[in-house]
Amino acid sequence: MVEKAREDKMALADQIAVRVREDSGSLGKLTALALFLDEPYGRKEEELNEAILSFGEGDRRDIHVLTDANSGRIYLYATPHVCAAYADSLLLAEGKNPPAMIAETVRRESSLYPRPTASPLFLLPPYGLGEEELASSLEKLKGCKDFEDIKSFEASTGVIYLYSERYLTLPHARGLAEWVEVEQFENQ
Amino acid sequence: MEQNERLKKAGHEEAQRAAEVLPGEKEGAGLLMRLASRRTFLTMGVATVAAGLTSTSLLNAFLAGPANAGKMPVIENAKGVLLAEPARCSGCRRCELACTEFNDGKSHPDIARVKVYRNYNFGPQGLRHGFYNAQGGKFGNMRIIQETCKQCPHPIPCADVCPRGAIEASPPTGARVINPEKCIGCKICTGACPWSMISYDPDTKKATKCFLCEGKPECVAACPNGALKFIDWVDLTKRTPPRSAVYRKAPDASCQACH
Amino acid sequence: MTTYGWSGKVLRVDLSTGRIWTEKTLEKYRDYLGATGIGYKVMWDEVPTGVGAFDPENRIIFGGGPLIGTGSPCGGRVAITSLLPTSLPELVGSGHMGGHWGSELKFAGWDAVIIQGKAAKPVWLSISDDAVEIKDARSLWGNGIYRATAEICAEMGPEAQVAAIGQAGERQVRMACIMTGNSHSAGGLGGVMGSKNLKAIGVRGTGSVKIAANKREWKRLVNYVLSLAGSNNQWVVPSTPQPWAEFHAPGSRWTARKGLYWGAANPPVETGTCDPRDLNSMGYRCQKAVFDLGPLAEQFTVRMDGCHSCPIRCHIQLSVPSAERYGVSRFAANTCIGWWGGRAIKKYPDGPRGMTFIEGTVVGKHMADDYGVWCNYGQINRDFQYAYESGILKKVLSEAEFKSIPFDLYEKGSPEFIKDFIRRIAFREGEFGFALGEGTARVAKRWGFGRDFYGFEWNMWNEKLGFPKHHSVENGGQVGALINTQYNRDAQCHSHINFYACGLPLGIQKRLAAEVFGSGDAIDAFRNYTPMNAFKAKFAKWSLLRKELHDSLPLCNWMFPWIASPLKERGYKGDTTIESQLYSAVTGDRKSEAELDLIAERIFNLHRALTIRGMKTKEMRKEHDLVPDWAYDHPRDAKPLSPGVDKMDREDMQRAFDLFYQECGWDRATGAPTGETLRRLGLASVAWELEKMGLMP
Repeated sequence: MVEKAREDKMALADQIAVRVREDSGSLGKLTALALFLDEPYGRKEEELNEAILSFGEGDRRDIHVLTDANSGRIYLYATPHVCAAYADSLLLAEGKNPPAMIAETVRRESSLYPRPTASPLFLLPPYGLGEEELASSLEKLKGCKDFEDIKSFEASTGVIYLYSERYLTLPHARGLAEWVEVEQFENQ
Repeated sequence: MEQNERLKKAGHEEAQRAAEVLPGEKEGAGLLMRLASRRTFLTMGVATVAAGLTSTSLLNAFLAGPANAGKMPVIENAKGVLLAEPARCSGCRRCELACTEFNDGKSHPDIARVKVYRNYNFGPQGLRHGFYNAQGGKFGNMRIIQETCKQCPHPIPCADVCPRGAIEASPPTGARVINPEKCIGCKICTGACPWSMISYDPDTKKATKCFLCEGKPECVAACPNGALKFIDWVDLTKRTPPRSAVYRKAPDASCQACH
Repeated sequence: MTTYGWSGKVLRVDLSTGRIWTEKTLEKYRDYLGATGIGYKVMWDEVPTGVGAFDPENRIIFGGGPLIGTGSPCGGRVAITSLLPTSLPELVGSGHMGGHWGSELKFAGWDAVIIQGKAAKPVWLSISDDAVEIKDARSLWGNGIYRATAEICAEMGPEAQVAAIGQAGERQVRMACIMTGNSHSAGGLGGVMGSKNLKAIGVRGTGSVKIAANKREWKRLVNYVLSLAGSNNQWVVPSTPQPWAEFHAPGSRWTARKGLYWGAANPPVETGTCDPRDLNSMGYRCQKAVFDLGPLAEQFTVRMDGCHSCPIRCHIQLSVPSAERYGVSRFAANTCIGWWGGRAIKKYPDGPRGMTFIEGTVVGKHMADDYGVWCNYGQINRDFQYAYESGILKKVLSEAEFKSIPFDLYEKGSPEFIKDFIRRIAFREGEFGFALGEGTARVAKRWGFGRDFYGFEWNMWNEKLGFPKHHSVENGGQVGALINTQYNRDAQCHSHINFYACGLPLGIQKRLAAEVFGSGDAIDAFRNYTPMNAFKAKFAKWSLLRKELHDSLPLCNWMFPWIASPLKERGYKGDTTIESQLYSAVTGDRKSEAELDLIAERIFNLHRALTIRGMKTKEMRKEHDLVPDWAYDHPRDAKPLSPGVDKMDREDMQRAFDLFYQECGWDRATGAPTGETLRRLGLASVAWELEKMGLMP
C-alpha cells in the first residue's frame, strides 16, 4: 500500500515534469502549478505541494519552482530550455503590472550591462505588451514615485529609450542608444 | 596494375553490351530500377541473406544457379538513409569535412560520401547559359543541393557491377558498404552509380562510398543547420534525377530465376 | 613523408618569362606560418624600395595557411598581400577574402601562390592539382567578374573556384578588388593583378589535407571549438531575449529568434531560438539580412552563406525580384561593407531601410562585384558625397562632364544612379571616374578637399595614407585608436571588437579580461572611457598579434579570438588557446599559445619594418601612427573621456603610445622596433638591413 502511494506520487511529479519541460522547451513559458488542479490532471493541492518537493534534484533537477511574491502563485520551469534570468522576466510578465515590469527590467539593464533599454523591447517575448499597453505603461511610469529613478529620452531615430539614473547618466545613455540605433550600422 | 586495366576494360565493354541489350530503356534513365538489371552475387553467408527473403522458392533459385554458388545478391532494403533538405543548406561543407576527417583522418571533399562541393557554384546541372538567374548554386538561384547515397534497393547498381562482389550490405544499418579487403580499386562502381556517389580514394587506392558511419552519420552530427537527417529507409531513387549515364550489365540466368 | 596541414608546396609564377616553379613551404616559410606571414616575407626579401604597386617587380601573394581546407571552424580565409595601390606612398598591405578558393588551392596541393612579372598579353592562371598553366585571357579581358568566372568554370569544371578581377582591375583603377564566389572580395589589390595582365586564377583541387591528430582527438577538439562559438564577430548573446539566454544585447549579430525566417527559402526556414548547446542550429544564429538591411529584408532572404568550413554564416543571399527593373539579377549575395554600393545614395525616398534602399543595395552589389570596384571601407561614397555637397565637383569637372552625371537621380534616391556612378569608376570615365578610382588620398589632393573633410562626419582616420576608421575609438577608446594607427589601409583588426562587443555585462567582461590581460582595467564600459593604462596597451598589442596570427593560420579574425563564449556553465569564458590547439592538432607541430604569439609578433614586426622601409623613415610616431583631430575634438561640447562619447584626450593618447610602444619593444620616440626586439623575434637580418638604410631608432 505504502509503495503504491509512493508510485502515484512519483508518477505525478513525473507527469508535471513532462509538461514543464514541454512548455519550457517548445514555448519558452512558465507552467502554473495550478494548471494541474484542472482536468485532465485533476489533482488536489496537497498532492501538488508534495510533488514539487522532489523538483530540483535527482532525475528532476532540471525542474525549478518560482513563487510570485505578490500573488503567491507557484510556477515551474525547466532548464536549460528556460534559464533563471528569463524565468524571472516571465514571472514579472505574469505579475500583470507592466509599469513595475518595465522599471524592474530597466534597472537591471542599466546596472548590469550597463545600457539604456529601448522601449520596443517590451513588445517582445517574454514581456509581450501590446503597442497601446506599452504607451500607457510608459505614461504611468512617469508619475509614479516608486519609479522616479526611471527616465526616458528619444533617440535620433525616434525610438524611446529608458534608463535608471541610479546607474546611468543621460549623456552615457544617449551615447549608447545612438550607437545601437545608428552608428553600429556605419561601423561594420 | 595490368589486371586493373583489364578489369576496367572489361567493365567498359560490359557497359556497352548492356546498352545494346536494353536500348529502349535509355529513355527511362530517371528510373533507376529499370537501368540496372544484372546481379553480381555477393559472397555473403546464406543465412544473412535468407533472413531477408520471404519466399523459399526465391531462395532456392539463388542456391540453384551453378555459377552463383555461394554468392547472393542483396535483396533486403537498408534500414536507414540520409535525407538532405536543400532549403536549409548554407554551403559550409562541414558535412564533407566531418565525413572524411572523422572517418579517414584527412580533409578530402573529393572522396566525401556527401557531396556539396560540386553543386556549390552552379547546382547539379552544372554550368548552363543564364546561370545567374535560373539554375541552382551560389551563382544561380542560390539553392544548394547536398547529395547523399540512396542506399539503393535491389538491384543495387554499384554492387551489381562490382567484379569482386565487394559491395555488401553491412549491419547494423544495412548500408551498402565497400569491403576494402575485396575492392581492387577498378573504379567500375564509380561509373555505375546514377548519382555519382562513389569516389576513388587515391591514398588507399580503393573505392569508397557512404556506409552510414555504423548508424551514427558524422555528416548529420556536423551540419550546423540540421539540413541532413538520418531517417528510416525510404526509396529515394525514384525521386532523384540521375546525375550521369551509368554502366550496367545485362541480366544473366540468375535474374531469370526470379523475374 | 606526409606533410600535415600544409601541403608543403608554394607555387611561383613569373608572368614576364612564363616560368612556373615550386618552393618548399616548410623549408622557406615555416617561421611565418602562411598567408600574410609568407606575404610579408616575400615582400621584404624580393620587393625593394622604389618598386611601385603596378610595377612588374611587385609581387602579389595569395594564400591560406596550415589550417585552411581543414575542419578548423572559420578557417576558410585567404589573405592577399602586395603593395597597396591606394596608400600614399604605396605601402605593404593585405586584402582578405573567404569563400572556397583558398581551400580549393590547398586541395590542389598548394599553400600559397606568388605572382611576379607582367604577361605580354592578358592571361589567366589555371591550377588543376599539379597542372599549372598560364592561359590566354584575351577573350575574357573586358568582361566582368561574373562572366570571367563562368567561362573559367566552363573550362575547368563547375567545381572550380575562381579569383578574378573586373574591368576596374584591368584598368588599374586603384580602388579595385579581387572577387571570388560572387560575394567575397579582397579589397584594394585588383589593380595589381590588372597591372600584371592577370585576369584570374582558377583552381581545382582533388587532393586532401592530412590531419596529424588521430581522428578521435581531432573530432573532440573540433566539437570543443564549436561549442564556444558565438555569432558573427563572436557576439555570445542573442539580440533579443531568448528563453535559454541569461543576457541579450540589442546590437548583437545573433539575431535568430522564433518567428524570424529565411523568408525566401523554399519552404521558408525559421531561424528559431538557437540554444548554443545545439550545434545543429549554429548556422541560423546570424540572420544577417535583417541586421544589415533592416526588417524588410527578412522576406527576401533565401539563406545565409559564408566561407568553407565556417559554421557561422554571415553572407546574406537575397532574392529581390523588384530589383530586376534596374536590369540586374534578383539574386544578390554579400555582407557588411560589401553592400557599400547601395550607400552611394545618401537619402532614399522611402527612408534609410526601405524598399528602395534594398533595391539599391542589390544594384550596388552587382555593379561593384562584377566590375570589381573596391570601396575603401565605404569611403568611396563619402569621397563622392563630400565633393558633391561641398560644391567641389562643380569646380573640378568640365561643365559637360558635370551635366552628364545624373545628379537628379542621386537627389531622387534612384538606384539607377548607382549604376552610373560605379560604371564611371570601373571604366575610369572622365575626370570623375578617374579621380574617385584613385582612392581617397589622391582624390582629396587632386580635387583640393578642405579641412572639413577630415572632420568626424566623413570618417577619415589617416589623411596621409588615405584610409577611414575601422573599429577605432568607437570600439574600445585608446585600444581601438592604437589599432587603427598600425596599418596602411583601414585596420582590418577585429580581435578587440570580438570581445569588446560580445554582449556580456561589463562585470563579466572585466573578469574575463583580468584572466587574459592581468586586470579588468584592460576594458572599459562601452562609451565611458577611463584614462590609458598598461593593460589596455597589452590588449591592443595582443589584438594586433592575433590578427596577424589569424590571417596566417588562417582563422577568421571576424570571429576569433574568443575571450568569451556563450556558455554560462563556463562563466562565459572562451579559450585563447584554441589557435594553438588547432595548429598543433592539424600540423603535429606542438606549439603553445605563447609560441604562436611569438610567431605572430614576428609577422607583425615584419609588417612594421616593411612600412618603415617603404616610407623611408623611422619616424613612425610622427609620420605614420596618426590619430585624427576629430578623435580628440568630437563632439565639441563634451569633455574628453566623459560618459557617452568616444572623445579621447591628447595627452592621454600620447601616454597610450608610450605604453603601447613599450609593450611592443619599440623605441618610444620613433615608434620603430629596436634592434633587440627584432633579434628577439628572429629578424636579425631585417634589423641589419634597416640599420644599413639608417632606419633603426
